[in-house]
Amino acid sequence: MKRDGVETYGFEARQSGLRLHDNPALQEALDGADTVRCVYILDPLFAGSANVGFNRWRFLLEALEDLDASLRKLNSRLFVLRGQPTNVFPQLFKEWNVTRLTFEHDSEPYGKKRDATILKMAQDFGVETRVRNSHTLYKLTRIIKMNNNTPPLTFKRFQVIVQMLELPKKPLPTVTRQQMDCCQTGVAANHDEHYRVPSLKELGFQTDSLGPAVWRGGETEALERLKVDKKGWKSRFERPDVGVASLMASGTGLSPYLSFGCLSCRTLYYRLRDLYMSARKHCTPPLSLFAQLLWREFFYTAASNNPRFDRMEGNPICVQIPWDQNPEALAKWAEGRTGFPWIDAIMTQLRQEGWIHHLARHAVACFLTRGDLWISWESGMKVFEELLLDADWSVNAGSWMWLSCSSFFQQFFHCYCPVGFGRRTDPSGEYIRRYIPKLRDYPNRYIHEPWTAPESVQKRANCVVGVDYPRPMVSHAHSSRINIERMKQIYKSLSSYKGLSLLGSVSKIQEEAESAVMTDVSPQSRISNSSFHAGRPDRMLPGPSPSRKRARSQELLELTEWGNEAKVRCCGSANRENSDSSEQ
Amino acid sequence: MWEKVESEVFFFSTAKLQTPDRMKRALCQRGTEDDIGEGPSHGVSPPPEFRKRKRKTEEWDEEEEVGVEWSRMPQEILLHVFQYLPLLDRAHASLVSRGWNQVFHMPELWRCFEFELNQPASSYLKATHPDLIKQIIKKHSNHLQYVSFKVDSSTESAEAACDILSQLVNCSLKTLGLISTARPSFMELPKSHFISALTVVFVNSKSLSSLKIDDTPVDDPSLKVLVANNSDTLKLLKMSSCPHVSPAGILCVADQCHGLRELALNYHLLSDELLLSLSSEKHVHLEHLRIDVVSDTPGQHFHTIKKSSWDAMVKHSPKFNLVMYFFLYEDEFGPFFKNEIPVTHLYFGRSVSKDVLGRVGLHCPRLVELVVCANGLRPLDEELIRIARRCTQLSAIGLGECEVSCSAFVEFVKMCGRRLSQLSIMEEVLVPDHRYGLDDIHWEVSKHLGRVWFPDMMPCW
Repeated sequence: MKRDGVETYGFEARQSGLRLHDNPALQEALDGADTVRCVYILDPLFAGSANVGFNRWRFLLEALEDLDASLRKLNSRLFVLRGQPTNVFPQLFKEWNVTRLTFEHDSEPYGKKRDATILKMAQDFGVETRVRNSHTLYKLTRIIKMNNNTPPLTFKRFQVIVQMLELPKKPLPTVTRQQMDCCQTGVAANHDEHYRVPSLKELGFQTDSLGPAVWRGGETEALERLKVDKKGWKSRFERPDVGVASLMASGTGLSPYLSFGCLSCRTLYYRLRDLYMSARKHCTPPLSLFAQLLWREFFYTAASNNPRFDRMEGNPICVQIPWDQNPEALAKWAEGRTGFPWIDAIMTQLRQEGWIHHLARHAVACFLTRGDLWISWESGMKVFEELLLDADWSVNAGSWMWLSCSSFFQQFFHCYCPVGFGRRTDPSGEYIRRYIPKLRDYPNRYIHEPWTAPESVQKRANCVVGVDYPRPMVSHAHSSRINIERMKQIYKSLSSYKGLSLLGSVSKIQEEAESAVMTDVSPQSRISNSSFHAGRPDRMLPGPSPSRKRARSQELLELTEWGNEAKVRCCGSANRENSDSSEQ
Repeated sequence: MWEKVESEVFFFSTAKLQTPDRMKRALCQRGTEDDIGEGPSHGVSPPPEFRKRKRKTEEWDEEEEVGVEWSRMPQEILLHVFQYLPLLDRAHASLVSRGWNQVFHMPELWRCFEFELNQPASSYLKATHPDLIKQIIKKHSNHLQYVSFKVDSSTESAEAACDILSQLVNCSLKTLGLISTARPSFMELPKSHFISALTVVFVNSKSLSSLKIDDTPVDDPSLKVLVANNSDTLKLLKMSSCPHVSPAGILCVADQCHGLRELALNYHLLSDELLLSLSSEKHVHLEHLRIDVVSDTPGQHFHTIKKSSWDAMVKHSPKFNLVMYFFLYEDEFGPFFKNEIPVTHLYFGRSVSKDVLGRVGLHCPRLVELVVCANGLRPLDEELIRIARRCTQLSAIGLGECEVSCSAFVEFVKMCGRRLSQLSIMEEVLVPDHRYGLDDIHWEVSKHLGRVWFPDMMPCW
């Protein structure tokens, strides 16, 4: 290694690895280097775009500040650079005489593409590169390989594979002062002028009218949360009892920290495991203990080779559903003006704080899509992308597909009721009162459906429905009835199931897809499969074999939904009974 | 060599003079797939040149050379191949030669058509091109037999569907389906407009056997027209949520259409008279009756159906399926499940009380599938066990926001055993107790089912 060489450890412009604990990329950078610089590239164009909201930016900047502060303690600093990575890198390589570039592996299709460009640039400049995996527990390519080279599409299947794998790698220790002392950083006197973490104001956000952050970004806070008393952790071992308290942001919530890389998933994994084993006399913990981590891993795996994972069209695992386009209704949902206090409270909490409980996510996602409004999950996903602190690309898109029953073989029979589900979870209306103060004075009995309150009650509560608070934008009974029929229609057309059972069609599709994964692995059959689908977006789910599909596509309207003999087929049978008409 | 392509193929400005990929594949697979092998191609040998070159065509390289033979392929073979191709590919293929173009227009290929009517502002899906619609009405409307309309949520699309319907004067449809893919947009049309379009089909077709008109403003007089022209042929009528039809209107259909085997309607149209009419001697066995029980305003009152009427139905059509979808408020279930009812498939779309589920266990001996979306917070232990004991046909169950203790659930599965082919239980439904935890319940249940089973999970993220 050249004596004047500079090792640069690069952070990327997206959330990843904003920490000093369990950071293999940083450890690699330190390995025998003379100088190390931790770099974070901030794309200012990105800041102005609508798809990342204020709370997410605030969290990110806090995390960067925190990292900078931690590095200071190690006699180093964080270098925040603004600009496009493609412009910034060549400049840095030259200016700092970089000999090695290390960063965290990104499994997501866009990340992979971006990383490939960076690797190419580094190669052109003769810079050695090392990419290390630490954003997921397992090597996703291995999971895919073990599932016959396709990502598992059911969580069960995923769990089966995970159980065959060895435990995730142990987290690496935090970077120490000694390690950092071995190599200098070369902080210039005017460091702040060029490389300091920008403020929200500098990024163009109005900061005057903002409340304090509910979620403080940064590794320090994340590790603090890991330390909370054992009682708080115990709840994770048991069946979650969802009540008002769990709906509120809590001191033990970790998902934003995982998402931004302030907390290593492996550190969390082993912390959970150790706690469980010490509490349960060294029993091996069940997979359910790691449910949240595994779900994240599941969606990361499903998305890793699918650049169209975040959209319906052209996405091979997404059911093509004729969603309605209705910008007005979408805006009402996104801004919490649906007239259903439970839905509006959740959307308000999301906008104000950046985090909502997963059951709350289920409630609003179901309401927007298959439950009530019949609006595409893509629109909902984009709103979450803007507002939700833990909106990882894969997990966000995957969860939306899941909740809208667009993929992963979900039974669609169950729709969350925007009134009933709220009442079950928040019987006293405490949650609603907190986020929709207008409804504060409603009696408990009416707070989940204020439009049913007598006028006198509405007046007494100083909130008249239709004047001070919107009327419900849909009739849930009406729309859920229509929507379940639509879903049935779609799933019937996808499946070869012809029975009357509501539950039958989905499980049939799952069966067929799973047997396809097991048997149909020759690349040739896969190619013919996908080209058959092309142009027929309504039949894109992995499912029946091509020949069966081809036969099915001839059917138009079935005379009976279950009897095979009376099925109306268009051409085949029609051809036979009227073979003479071709003379005409 | 190549014949000039006629300009009547409308939707492609660039004509590719080569065999489309899918066409090739279809040809290639000929004889290798059973479902294609049955067709008229059996026994018909291709012309010598075609046979000679067949091996070569599999390489797909020298297309120009084999072109001549392609265009001489016998019409019946080509027709058969065309039947397996989507319209777009057929249109591509029709550009090959005049002969192929003739096959493209053969009536056999136009018996069945699905009009997709979507507006760019309200739908993500593509619509059937207006030129194609014009072409079909002009050239093929007398060939149409199996027609459906898929319409998005906009009124314009529903209107467009009606415009097409009203031009179908010289066709004889066998099936007609009006399908709203998003919101029910036919309901937003002026009733008279819709009715006059629909009656064009009723009057002209005379041999309609299936009619799907859910969520439309169809009314009694138009059903009378349907009956007057199609009473001998009508076998299927689906008209859930058609608010302008009265019990008398549907009774008229049942009285006259003795071949009716499937019927879907809302509960407010269901009457004792209707059931008796459907079980009269002249009437064929009913196969499927689908009833939607929907409440528009809380506290709605519902009439009751006599047990004797249901008994008559079961006696006349012992195998008929009764599918009931309930969308009621909890306090509206009063009149239901008081007496024995021959329901086979039950769906509760909203919260339903423990008490009602208890009555289901008592009075639904033919129950095959039960789906409960939501229930209160009290466990459904006794209710499920009673259902397992009394509903001996039960083979499918789905539970959403409910609670059942793990022990009771295991007991339920044990009682039903392997006949439970569909068991969709959300994970949160199962409450661990002293005997089973969440981690071991799936083993226990799998054991009794004879196959691997897991509860349904929802992502926590």
